[in-house]
Parts: sequence; C-alpha cells; structure tokens
Amino acid sequence: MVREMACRKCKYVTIGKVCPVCKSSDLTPDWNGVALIVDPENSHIAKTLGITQKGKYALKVT
Amino acid sequence: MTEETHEIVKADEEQPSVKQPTTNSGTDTKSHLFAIRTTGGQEKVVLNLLQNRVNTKKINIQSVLLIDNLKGYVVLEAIDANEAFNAIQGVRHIRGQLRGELEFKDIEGYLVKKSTVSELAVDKVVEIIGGPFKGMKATVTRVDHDKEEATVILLDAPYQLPVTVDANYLKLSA
Repeated sequence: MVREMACRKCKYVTIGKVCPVCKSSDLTPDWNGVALIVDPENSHIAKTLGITQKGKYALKVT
Repeated sequence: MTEETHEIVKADEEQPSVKQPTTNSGTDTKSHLFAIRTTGGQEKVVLNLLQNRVNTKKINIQSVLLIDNLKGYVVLEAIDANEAFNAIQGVRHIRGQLRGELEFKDIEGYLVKKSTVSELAVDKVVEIIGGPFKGMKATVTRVDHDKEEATVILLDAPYQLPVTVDANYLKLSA
C-alpha cells in the first residue's frame, strides 16, 4: 500500500515525493488528523487552518 | 371592497413568513458543522469514500474533518443539514448523522494547537510524555524555537544525561 506523507510546511497529504502545493520535499510519514478541504473559499475550517487550496491536509505534523 | 382590502392585507401579512426562509438561506453562506457517526475504526475509509465522492459527483460540502480523539465520528462542514445528508447518503460505514450541529468552538481546540515551545524556558521542570523517555521528569537546558525542540537533562538518570527531544513530547510539570 502506498504510504501517504504530509508536507511539513503546508501539511498537504500526498503520495508523491514532492508536495504539489508548496513544491517542498520535506515530507513526513508522522502525521495525524485529516482535514479534507472541498471548498476553501467558504470553509470556516480552511480559513482557521489558513488553507487556500482544496485537498487533503494533516491536522498535526510531527 | 372591504373583503378585497382584507385579502390584500392578508397577502401582505403572509409574504414575510414565506420570504423568511429565503432570507435565512441568503445569510447562510456561513457553514455549519455536523457530526457523522461511522462504524468504529472506519473513519479513514469513510473519509476516502467521501473524497472519491467529491471528485466524481457534485457535492455541496465545504470540508470533512477527521479527528483522532473523536473515535467513531467524522465532522462534516456543510451549508445546511440537507446538504450534509445528501453528501453522506449511501456511503458505506456511515451509521447516521447526529441531530443538531456542532459549535465551532467544540472542534477549534483540535485545529489550533498552541505550540508547547512557547511555554518552555530554561531551568523549568518538564515531564516527557512521548518517545523512549516517556514518563521521566527533566529540566530544560536549551530551547530551539525554530526546530521546536528542547534539550533536557533527565532527573531520573543517576548521572547528567542531556537529551534533545521534540517540544511536543514535553509537558510542563506542576
């Protein structure tokens, strides 16, 4: 099974080796909690987390 | 004539009550949070199913939240309860939707986590709550705010043993 990794900078969860949002390669497999952002413009949660692009984000990255 | 005027007045009276829901929905751009009950341990599966549904169908929801401390539930952010219901209808491992909605302050604590680094200072006694030294007490000797880690000296060890640990694994001891 492919391991999902979270970007340490923007917390985006990806299966690739580079974060597609911030292009960082600083990814970690240690993360928990997920926020699936569908509509970042109208989402209160996205605003609180400072997320502007839709996708799957980790809540806590270690 | 009087009947006519009466009817007009009646119609005028009725209008606001009909309009009221539309005005409500107009201001309802603010989203609401709903707790969705799932089969125990299947929260991630539900989240992936919802993600697939979002990609394939047009579902009017804002976000889905999966919190580790909230076992058996996922939090759905939608404009109203109907949209939330439409989004989860027919999804496997979903056992229902809790009546009413969650307050934002209920989940805020899970979203905005105050970093423990800001609370740490040199010479403070802390307890290590994770990692190989879990449960041990230590004194802080150095704090690295950028890397969010701290060097501590274990109090339980027979000799001075400086260890650098992640600040999230430290808790201020009372």
